[in-house]
Amino acid sequence: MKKILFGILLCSSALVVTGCREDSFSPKGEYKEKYVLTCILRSDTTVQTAILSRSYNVPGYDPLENRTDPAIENADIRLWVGDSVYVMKGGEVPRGDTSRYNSPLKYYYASNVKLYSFRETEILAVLPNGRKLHARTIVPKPVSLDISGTEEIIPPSGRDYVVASWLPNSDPRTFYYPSFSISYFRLENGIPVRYVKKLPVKYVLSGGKYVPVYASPTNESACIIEMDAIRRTLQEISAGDPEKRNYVILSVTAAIMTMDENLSAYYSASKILDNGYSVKLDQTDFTNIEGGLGIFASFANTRFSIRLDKDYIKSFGYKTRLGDE
Amino acid sequence: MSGKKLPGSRFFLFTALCLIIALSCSTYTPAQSGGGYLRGLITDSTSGEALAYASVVVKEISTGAYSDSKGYFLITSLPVGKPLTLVVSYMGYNTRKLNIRLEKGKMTHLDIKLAPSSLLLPVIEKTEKRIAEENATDISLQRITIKELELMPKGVETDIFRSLQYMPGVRSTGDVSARYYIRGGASNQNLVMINGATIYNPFHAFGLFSIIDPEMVNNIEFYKGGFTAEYGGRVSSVMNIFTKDGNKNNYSTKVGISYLSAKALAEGPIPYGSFIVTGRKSYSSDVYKKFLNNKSIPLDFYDLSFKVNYANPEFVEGSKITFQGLLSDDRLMNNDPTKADLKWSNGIFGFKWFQISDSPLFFEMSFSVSNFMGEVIPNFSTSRSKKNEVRDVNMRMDCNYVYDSKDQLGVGLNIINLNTKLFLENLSGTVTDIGSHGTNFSVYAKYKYLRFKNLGIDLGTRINLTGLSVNGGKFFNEPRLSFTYRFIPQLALKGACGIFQQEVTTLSDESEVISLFEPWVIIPEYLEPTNSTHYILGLEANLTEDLSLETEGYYKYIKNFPAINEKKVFESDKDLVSGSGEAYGVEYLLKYKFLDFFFMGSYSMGWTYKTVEGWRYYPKYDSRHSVNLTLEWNMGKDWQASIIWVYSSGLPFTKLTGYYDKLDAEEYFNNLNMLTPYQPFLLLGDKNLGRLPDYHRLDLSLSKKFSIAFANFYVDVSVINAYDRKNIFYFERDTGKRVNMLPFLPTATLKLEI
Repeated sequence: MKKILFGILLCSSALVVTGCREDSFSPKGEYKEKYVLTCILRSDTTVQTAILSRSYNVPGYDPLENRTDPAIENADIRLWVGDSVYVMKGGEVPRGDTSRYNSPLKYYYASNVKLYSFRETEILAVLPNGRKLHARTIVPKPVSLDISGTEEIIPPSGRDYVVASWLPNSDPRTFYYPSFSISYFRLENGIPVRYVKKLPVKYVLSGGKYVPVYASPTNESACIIEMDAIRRTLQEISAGDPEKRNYVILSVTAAIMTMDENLSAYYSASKILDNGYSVKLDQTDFTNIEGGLGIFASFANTRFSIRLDKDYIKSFGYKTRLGDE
Repeated sequence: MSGKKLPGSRFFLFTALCLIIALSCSTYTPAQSGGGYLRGLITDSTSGEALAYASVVVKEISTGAYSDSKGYFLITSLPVGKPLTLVVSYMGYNTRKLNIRLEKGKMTHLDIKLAPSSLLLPVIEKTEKRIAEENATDISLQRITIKELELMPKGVETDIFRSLQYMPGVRSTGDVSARYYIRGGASNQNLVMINGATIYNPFHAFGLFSIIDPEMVNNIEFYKGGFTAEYGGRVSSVMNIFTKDGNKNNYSTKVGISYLSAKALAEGPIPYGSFIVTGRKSYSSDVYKKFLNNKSIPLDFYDLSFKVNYANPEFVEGSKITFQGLLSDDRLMNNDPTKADLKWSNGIFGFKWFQISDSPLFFEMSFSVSNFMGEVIPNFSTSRSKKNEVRDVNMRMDCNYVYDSKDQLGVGLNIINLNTKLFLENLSGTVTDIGSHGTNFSVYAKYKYLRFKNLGIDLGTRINLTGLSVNGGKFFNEPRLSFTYRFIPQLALKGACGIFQQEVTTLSDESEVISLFEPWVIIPEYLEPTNSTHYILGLEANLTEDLSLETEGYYKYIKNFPAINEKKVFESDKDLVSGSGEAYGVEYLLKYKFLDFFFMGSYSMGWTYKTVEGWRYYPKYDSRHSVNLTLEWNMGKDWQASIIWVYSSGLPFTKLTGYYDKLDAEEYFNNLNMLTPYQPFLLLGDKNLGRLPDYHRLDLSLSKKFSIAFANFYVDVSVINAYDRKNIFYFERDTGKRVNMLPFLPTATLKLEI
């Protein structure tokens, strides 16, 4: 019996001595360089831009340690819109944020690009090392305002919310990104200066404070704004300023971005639905770039205004027109 | 045979045959045979609790049987008119010898009470045990008894699911979860039942513990594969938990307290029966920090189980009626509206009627309702609203008839009506229900060929007449075979094979190492039901009276298992895609008793692969080697000690291969400037090609029972991870921080019994 107990004790001691160390372990695999093309075409401008970069690695696990600009210059990037070809030129601008890279921000651009709704547009990037990146998009058609479904004036009678509605695209996979703002002037030394204040769709009480909640991409064709959000936003415009008469409120502007399929997918994949307790290790990524990573997509923008009732504006102490007393 | 549809005429012929046999059996009486019949019920003399899997041997003719999960046994064709010695033995009880004399053609019923012994270790009469089980078709079947449950290490909270993880072939992904994976199958491919009623989510607290209070458990039948025809609905394993009936002699109460919860149990006799009720309630969430990287989790849970049984011979002679219930509720409620709240609950109620008669026939009919509800309440977090409701209404009938030749015929039917609802909120805020409902009507028949002492064959089939899912094949046939051939008393060859079908699944994301919401749904109409084929072959060697070695090799192929569609972007994209998988390996189990020690060592080596969308990879629970060593020491005077060492080679993970600067979609939508909003994003290597470091852990446990006046105190002190092994749980990719599993953790439980 003593021998057995001694044996158990010996084995346990050996485990204690050898087992409690932490294994040296690296979760990193072999680094292989990849190339990233990012280009989102806007149908409301004729200048289109693209960014071309390479992947990178760092000795540790903080990617922000990388200080070498991953931009790739001198690539041949072309856009095909139907039979038209646009060669993108290289450009650079100073960076606003130099916390990571000090070099100017390099990009590619093409001017006078004419985009057509529902027409396939292609991009081909030939890198200096001969690698090719290729992708396609079909430019969506901008949506139209649904007059019957949208408020004519704010506040609407008998409701404490405002509906903004548009006529949906025929493709049910189309996503829309509605955003709302209030345009106003503020008199600064007697000179009216125009501002735009983002308008949330509602406010929620969190930790004793009201936090704005903005509209998010949707494949619905309408969006609801609570009157409480409009009231709080109008109050915030002049918060802390006793001179309410220095403010001229114009209207609520709705901007509806109609995304193509690629941009919708890119957005969806980037949404992390975190409940705070689940631990997910592998992030979801989306790319439609053949031969690399990134996104080639397009969108169309539509804007329309919703009038604010003059008496409602005045109830805050604001003016409704420049020159009003 | 897989998926083969029987022609209608053949099917009806088969059904008719089964019915004819069943009916003829029910009308058959012992008077028609030449031998004597012995039936018995083996119970604990102090509580009246049934003793499952006790061995019963008629010494003069070296024949015997095991008691079943209800404590009953039946032996036919016994010599009549002469004295016989019946030896009844059971681990932890004094062996009892009874002199009996049987009459020709008459059923003799014995109520056999065994008295507990002071010896806790598995010491039963080895010879009797071997005789009783010599042709038992029990490959891959693990039976766990009350005494074995009592010997289990307590840890933070005694948990039957965690204890299963010490068995060869059972994998876990770490200390944090009691979820288990059997021979390459996913955790949702394991059927868990309590007295035959399905439990859809048998876990508390993210899977940390099970909802079954071990105090309630009488015994467990656990099939790691190759399960026989009476079981269906899952493709990997079956665990059927049989609960206690309650003390039939005296009223008693127990209260206990552990690191995590407080609990109470009450049991006692009622006219013609008994009752038992247990309840547990968490009182502290501090212990979660040990499991979850020091994260505070505002989690609260309770569970409540009860069972009432009634056996009045004046009502229906030979009948036993039971009612059972199991309620559990978990709530994770934050005061912060920017965080999501979660809640999930089970509500299970069942009724069972068990009937014996003068013929060698057991009949059982049961009806149960199992409800599960899980909900994510997003509040104002980035989560989306989700709600899962499952209602399973289950009715089954089982008949088992024992022939004079000792062969047995089992027939039965099972009707499951399942209604699943899964409300998911999409990116637009629209809520859709992707649940469905269906009814599975299945019948089974199996013939156990046990007439030769050295050969046992269990051949049967299960036929699904209707399916839960749209594509659940009508007349889908699930043939099953299990056999044992004993070459010499010390050596047996065992094997099993079969086809299994599953029509429900959870929407589980494999890349989540901690998963909170795993809703159940019926396999949607665009996918075929999952089915698998098992082949198992093994050897059992009783090398000496005290030393045994079991080895099993297996091959499992699973096709059409539903996997999360990782390419889903739009609402119109399918949630699930179909995959296939295979697993093979070998397992060894060595048991050795010496002096006051009991040693159990197991080793398993296995390979598991999954193929989804043309990509073949190792699933997250694929571990090549695993070793479990257990040493129990009965120190005498109610002292008990145990040491457990577990080892498993590293689990798969996906390696990090670099970074790239990615356009931040949210930021881009805010300012529509493509030149500025870029954030580093991870580049990952091929899925699950990396391996985490090996896992190992040493647990120590010391138990003592004190008796003071009319009360018994049970104290259990355990040390988890005694040498503070830094077992990696996962690696935070964005910070490089290593998150380890349980550190050195001393715990204690205290139980008072009156």
